[in-house]
Amino acid sequence: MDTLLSKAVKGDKNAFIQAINSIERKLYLIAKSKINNEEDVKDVLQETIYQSYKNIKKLKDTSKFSTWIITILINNCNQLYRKKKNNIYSIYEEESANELYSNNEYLETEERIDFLKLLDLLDDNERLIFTLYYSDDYTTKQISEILKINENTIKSKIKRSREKIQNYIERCDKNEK
Amino acid sequence: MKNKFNNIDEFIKYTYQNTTIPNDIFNDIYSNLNIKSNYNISTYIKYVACFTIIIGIFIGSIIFFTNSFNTNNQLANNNSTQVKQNNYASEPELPVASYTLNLSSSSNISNKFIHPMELDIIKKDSDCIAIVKLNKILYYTNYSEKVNLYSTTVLTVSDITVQKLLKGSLNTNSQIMSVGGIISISDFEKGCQPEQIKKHGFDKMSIEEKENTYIEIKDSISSKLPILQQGKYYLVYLKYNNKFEKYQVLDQFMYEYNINDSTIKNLDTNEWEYFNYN
Repeated sequence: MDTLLSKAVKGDKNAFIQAINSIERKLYLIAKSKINNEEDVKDVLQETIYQSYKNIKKLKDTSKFSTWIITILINNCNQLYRKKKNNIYSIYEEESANELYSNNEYLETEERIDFLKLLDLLDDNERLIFTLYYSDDYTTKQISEILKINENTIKSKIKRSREKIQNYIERCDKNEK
Repeated sequence: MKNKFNNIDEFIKYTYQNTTIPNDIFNDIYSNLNIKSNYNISTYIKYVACFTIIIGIFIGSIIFFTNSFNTNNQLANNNSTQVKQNNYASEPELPVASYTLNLSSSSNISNKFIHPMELDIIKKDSDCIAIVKLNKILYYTNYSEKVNLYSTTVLTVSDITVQKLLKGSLNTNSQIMSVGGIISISDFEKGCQPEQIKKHGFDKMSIEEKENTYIEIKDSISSKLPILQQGKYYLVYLKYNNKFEKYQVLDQFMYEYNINDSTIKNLDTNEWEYFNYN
């Protein structure tokens, strides 16, 4: 990864694309934790990747590439969120039909549950923290530094998210029985 | 689920790894990255082209105005860059000296009134001898454009009309130079040696102060020359100065001339004496 990034910093586009390839899942799920609309996710990812490609020469410490690009992504998500909020409706309200699991007691089987469905169980302010925590093995302290939120708040949000998912699993298990 | 995963974290990580990521999103992004990159190159080329054009126009303008300025200077037969004059101004303002600097007051060069014995030598040495009317003092300079050199000798360039030509050939309307003149310290300093700069205290003055302070420079020759006044007549012994491409008053031989009674002012006695060239 370091070799790839060193090349990318020197302007090697293929190396840059390969570096992004390795964190595609993380970027996508972080974007999805903030935005539900697939088109918006694509736009935000595109903008983020383009910005990081344009500015990667400024990246002095390649070991922080992942955190750096995630910060850009979160900023872009927040910008879109504010823009959409100004247009009255929130991003998640656009696809409110997807918010059905807990409300409609529509319970999935094990094979059908994926991370995106877990995100839907969580509140807006829990999704990003939850995604960061499980996507890159970030510690709560690192997440608190990235998001500039108190570490205890991070811990409580993760705990609350876990509980919600735990409850959901229990309901699913009951359903299976 | 409980049977399959030991704890909730394990389950969450499992879902994380098994979530399907739409590859087409990233493929599209990478394709657009190519387009954007190409766009950047073309934009860069455009910027470079615009920048080159702007620089070209800028340099062209400088060349044009420099040529224009030089042409105007040549037309005015102005060898000096010392007088900051507006090309469009009909009458450049001459600077006024704040004080006088006599460079060689201890010189042994004599300034005697013209004697008959000397006259033959002077006559021979001169390229031109004429009685002229000083129409206008044009400018002062210590810079020779031809040899690109500044000196401590300051010259006054005047526009004259020849009244009577006694020797040689000189256009009726000409420009002549005489030693001595008024100049800014910043220009005078350019012709000075470091020890001269220190001696006169120029090293302690600010750039602005030096640019705005004008001094009258006199030496053993110019200190004895008559004070030049526009509209007056003078008897001049001239020699052609190649460095300035002008006729220059030969040493101290410039006398105020009274055209009514053909008398010249004796520089030693300040009395008017009859002048007979022959």
